[in-house]
Amino acid sequence: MDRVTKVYGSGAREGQAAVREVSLRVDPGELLLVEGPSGSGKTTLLALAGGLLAPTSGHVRVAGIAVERLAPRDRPAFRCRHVGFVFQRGLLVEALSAEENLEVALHAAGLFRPESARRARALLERFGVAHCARRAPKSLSGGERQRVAVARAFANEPTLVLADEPTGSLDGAAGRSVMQALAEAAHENGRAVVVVSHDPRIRSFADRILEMVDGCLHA
Amino acid sequence: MRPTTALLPGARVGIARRLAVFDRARCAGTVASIASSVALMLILVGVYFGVRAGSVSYIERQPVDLWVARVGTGNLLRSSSVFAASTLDAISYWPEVASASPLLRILVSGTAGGERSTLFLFGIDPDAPAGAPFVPAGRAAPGPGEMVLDRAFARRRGLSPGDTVVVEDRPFRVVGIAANTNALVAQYAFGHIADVRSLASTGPVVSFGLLDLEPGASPDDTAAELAEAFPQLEFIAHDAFVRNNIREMEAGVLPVLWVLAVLAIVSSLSLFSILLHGAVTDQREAFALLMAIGTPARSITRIVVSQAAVLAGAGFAVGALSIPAIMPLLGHLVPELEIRLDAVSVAVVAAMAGLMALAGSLLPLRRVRSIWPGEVFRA
Repeated sequence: MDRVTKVYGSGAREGQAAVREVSLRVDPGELLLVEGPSGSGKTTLLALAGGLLAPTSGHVRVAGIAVERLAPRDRPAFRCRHVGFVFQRGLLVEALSAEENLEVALHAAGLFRPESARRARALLERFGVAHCARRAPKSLSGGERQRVAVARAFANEPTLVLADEPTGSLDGAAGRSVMQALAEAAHENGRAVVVVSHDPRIRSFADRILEMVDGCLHA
Repeated sequence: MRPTTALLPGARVGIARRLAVFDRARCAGTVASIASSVALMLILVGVYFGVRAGSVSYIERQPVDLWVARVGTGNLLRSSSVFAASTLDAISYWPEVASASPLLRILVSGTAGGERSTLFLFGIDPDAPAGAPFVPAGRAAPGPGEMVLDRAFARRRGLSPGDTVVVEDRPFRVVGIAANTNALVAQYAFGHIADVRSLASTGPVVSFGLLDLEPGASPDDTAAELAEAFPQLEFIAHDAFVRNNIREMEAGVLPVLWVLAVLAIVSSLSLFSILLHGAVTDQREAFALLMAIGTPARSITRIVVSQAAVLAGAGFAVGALSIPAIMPLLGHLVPELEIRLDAVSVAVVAAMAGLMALAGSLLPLRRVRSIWPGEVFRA
């Protein structure tokens, strides 16, 4: 990110800069933790990096792609191939099984059955939730849900993984297990992982920690 | 940027099906609304063909080449025609005419079991080669003091051959039960032509003549020659007369059926659209998530349309399968209502259900397009 600013043009935050002149580089294999209080702009930072929001000024580059220049119709393809998301509460499509949640991401990248099913099983195995494959999300524990969500985030071997409060709703053991999975994926597979959180328990997993206050990043 | 792949139909329908059935109560409500609409449409189509068969089959099955009627009378259902029987006798001597059967039609009220209703009473000559209806039970040719009744009329009043029906205060013995003689608003009955003349207090008159021509005679040429010789009469080819009656029947019945069908479609479409819109609203988070992880917009659109198609398909199946149970019930409650369905009618209603699914998904699609994938961060 190079001098990225995001000013909301409408709604309750009209005219406010949620992110101000942020410059940031995350390397492959690095797990960056961004801390900060609620409303400091952490989630906006993730939305900008993931191509869900366009910056008001500045440049966002992921895997050599100028994200801010992407046409809206090209952004799903960018997210599918280059960005993995882990949302709060282990957000999954409730109507689909854990395995199908992974397959949906694989389908979008052009991988279909039986290969998508095989790959989904392998991912669930890798993240320790193979036993959850056929289960509906509502029957999973918080930790299991989040691990399935992490597996989905890595399904298409993205360049960048963005995790929004991945341990927010988990107890200590489950939170550690999820962070362990994210850290291993970052280090062993050379992915850049950005975690935003205000959970102090996960600081030990980070390679670098930045703090966000009022839309600005500080070391 | 290389575009993402649109989901294959199988994957799309799989997701659509799961989303459709996720909220079972809503799914059941949506399927029930479509099923009731499909059943109603099938019944309306069935009633149309039932009325058509009931009104026109009697005419269609007459083994004649030409129909004779007073000038200006092109059909049997909604017109009056009276001319002297002696004129028909004269026509019967025409060289190309093999036989001329008389038909006298009047409107009467028939009473049986204390219930009174209107009948199209046809007076026929039992010895003539044409004019008798198709009678699956009893005798087709009534003698003096006898009557053949329509099946629906007889069923409602519990009449069968051997019973008595009172027509204009005169008792007649039922000798046959006719099929395909139910015009919904009134049923056909058949009596001896002398009795019908007596009921109408007329002399030797007829309403129509049914002409069978000699082999090799041209109906068009014969009709033209006869029209010249009998200028007060019209000679109509059998097929044209059948078409005239279908047109008359449709003019009377179709507008009513159309209004009912349109009301059924509009109300069902509105309900379907609202229910699907509600389902999409409930699944807003799921759609935002699918968009966020890179599912292309066209696949999202197709998932919504597939979801509508899955629900419409289930609704159609339930609606169509309920018809065999509804028909006997309706037949019991309203014997005059004859419902006739064939594969083509069912296919047409299936196509309408498909169109309804497509139209019903328009409003939900607008809703889906308003979803911002970044909403998932607020979830």
